[in-house]
Amino acid sequence: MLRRRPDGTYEFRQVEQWLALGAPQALSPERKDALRLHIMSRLGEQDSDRQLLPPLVRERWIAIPAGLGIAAAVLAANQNLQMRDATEDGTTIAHANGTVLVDGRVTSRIAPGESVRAVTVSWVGVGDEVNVGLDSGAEFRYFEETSVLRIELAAGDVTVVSKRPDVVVQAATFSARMREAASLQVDEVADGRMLTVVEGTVEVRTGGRLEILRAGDRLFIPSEPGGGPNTGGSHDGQGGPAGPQGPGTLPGEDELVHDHGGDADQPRGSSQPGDAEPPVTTPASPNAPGQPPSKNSGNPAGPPLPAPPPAPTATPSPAGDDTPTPAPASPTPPASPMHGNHSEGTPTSTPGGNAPTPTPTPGNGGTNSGGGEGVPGLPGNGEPNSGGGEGVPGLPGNGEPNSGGGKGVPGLPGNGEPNSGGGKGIPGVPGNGGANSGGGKGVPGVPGNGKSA
Amino acid sequence: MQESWPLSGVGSESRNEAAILDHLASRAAEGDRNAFEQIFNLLADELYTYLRGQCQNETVAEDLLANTFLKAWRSARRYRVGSHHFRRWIFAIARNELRDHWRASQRTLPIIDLDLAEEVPEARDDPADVRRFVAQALATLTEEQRQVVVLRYFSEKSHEEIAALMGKREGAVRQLLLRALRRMRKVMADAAP
Repeated sequence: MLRRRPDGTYEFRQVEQWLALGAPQALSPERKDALRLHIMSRLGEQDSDRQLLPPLVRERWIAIPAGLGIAAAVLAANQNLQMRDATEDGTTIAHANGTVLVDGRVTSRIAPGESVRAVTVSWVGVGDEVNVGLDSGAEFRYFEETSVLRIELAAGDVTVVSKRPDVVVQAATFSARMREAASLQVDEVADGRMLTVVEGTVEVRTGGRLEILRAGDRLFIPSEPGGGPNTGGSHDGQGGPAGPQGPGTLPGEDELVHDHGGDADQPRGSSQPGDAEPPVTTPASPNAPGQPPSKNSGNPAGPPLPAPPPAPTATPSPAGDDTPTPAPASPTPPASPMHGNHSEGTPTSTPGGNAPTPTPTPGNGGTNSGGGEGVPGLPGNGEPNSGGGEGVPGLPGNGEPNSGGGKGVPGLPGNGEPNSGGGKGIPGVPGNGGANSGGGKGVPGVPGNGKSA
Repeated sequence: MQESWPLSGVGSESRNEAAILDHLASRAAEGDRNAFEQIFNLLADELYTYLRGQCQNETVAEDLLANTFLKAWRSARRYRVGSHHFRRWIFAIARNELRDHWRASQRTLPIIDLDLAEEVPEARDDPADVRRFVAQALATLTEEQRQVVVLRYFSEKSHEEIAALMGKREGAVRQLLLRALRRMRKVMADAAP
């Protein structure tokens, strides 16, 4: 370890000299032999090898993957335990695959009766055989009843896929029983819901009517009566007052819109009496009195139309008094878009004329200027009945105008005065000879029997 | 008559020494006393020098040497055969024996007298005085510095061999040795009259 300095001296020369002189003496052979004998005579038992694991297992390239595998197995087993469907009382626990809220908290386990709202697109498995697909914002509940699984839809677009034969999908306006191995898609559209059967067969019951839908069938179900998307137009003619509604029909029953016409032999809707005259023009009235329901096929603006009560003072004119003008006296709503293949619904026939022609039936000279958001007004008799407004519609008057108003219910026809029924929901009832300027989005006005507006 | 092992030509510089020691260690782990005796014959001198350079006298060094070999025999099965580090393994046992000895000595009587002024030999004629003086200077070093100095100047090991025995890199050994010599030079210069 000598280091030569620039002046020729060495750095640790003195220290190394001391170390060389002070080195200890080596072990003498005699002492070495003595030590060897001493050590060899004292050799005892050897310790055992305390390796608990074989060296191969301790290699990290084996230990780390093995540890990860064990950890994954533990996690999978834990998740599997959580995915057990049945609870202690036998009810089925649903499991969500996605982000859903139950009582405002995110969860993946859903008990029967709990309202589920999807935050993201999610699937909820109810048992092993039923899956409910939710778009974001969709909301539903399910109930397990005796041999029936009931799914209540609240909002949003929902798809139900089921292998069970006893699944019932319900909403406020319909009830659909899914047969075995069926898939039903329920989409919210404007003013209603569109049911689409993707697979299997679904029995849809709405308002007492029963529709059997098969794969590919679609069915529009309005959300509320009179709220159809059909924009009503004016009717000029001498149409009689609104005819009585057919027996056995319920409000909203006629609102069922199918993608194909019903049985042609079954009159649909409530036709009005006195519509036997041949039609002249019905520019906006697709559903003429006496017209078979099949003629309504393909009407794209098909809102529901509740059958209005017969005008208390209106005098129905079976035939036109003056020049026949286009005035279907039927309050039956025009057909809505229908795409179904089968219509087994109950007909809502109304006693009245059965005009053979598909065109509108003329009224009695009155004018029905339907308009507004809901259902158009019906014709009045002679004098206009200007029902409308935001409140309750006007009732038909006798010779005097009846200017009732209301949001939902239109004016009823008056006698001799035009009935300008208006309102968002239900059209006015025609008067006798008066103009009926009913309003409504969906259904056009019905002509009156007198003046022509 | 004990079994003879072809040890002729086996020295510290031999490339095969590590393999020979490994083989003897594997046999010793199986209880072969003759193999262990040959290990003693190979390594006793080195270990004695290593121990003697760091303790007070020959008797203590011999006791530490005997304990080192006895522990090596007892733990022979724990040595990883095939690692070719038996020399490092048995030197580690000796180092632990030294530490235990130092701890026991510090509890009984001081072995280091840092006052070297009165211990500086007047002349180099008395080797015993010189060895005592050097031993006291070594006592001022750290444990690692002292080991490096002993192995380098008493056992005459190269830097590479010291690094292998201590499990350090060669550069670290050189650094330790440089600092040890500077320390000793300062201590000896201060002690000189």
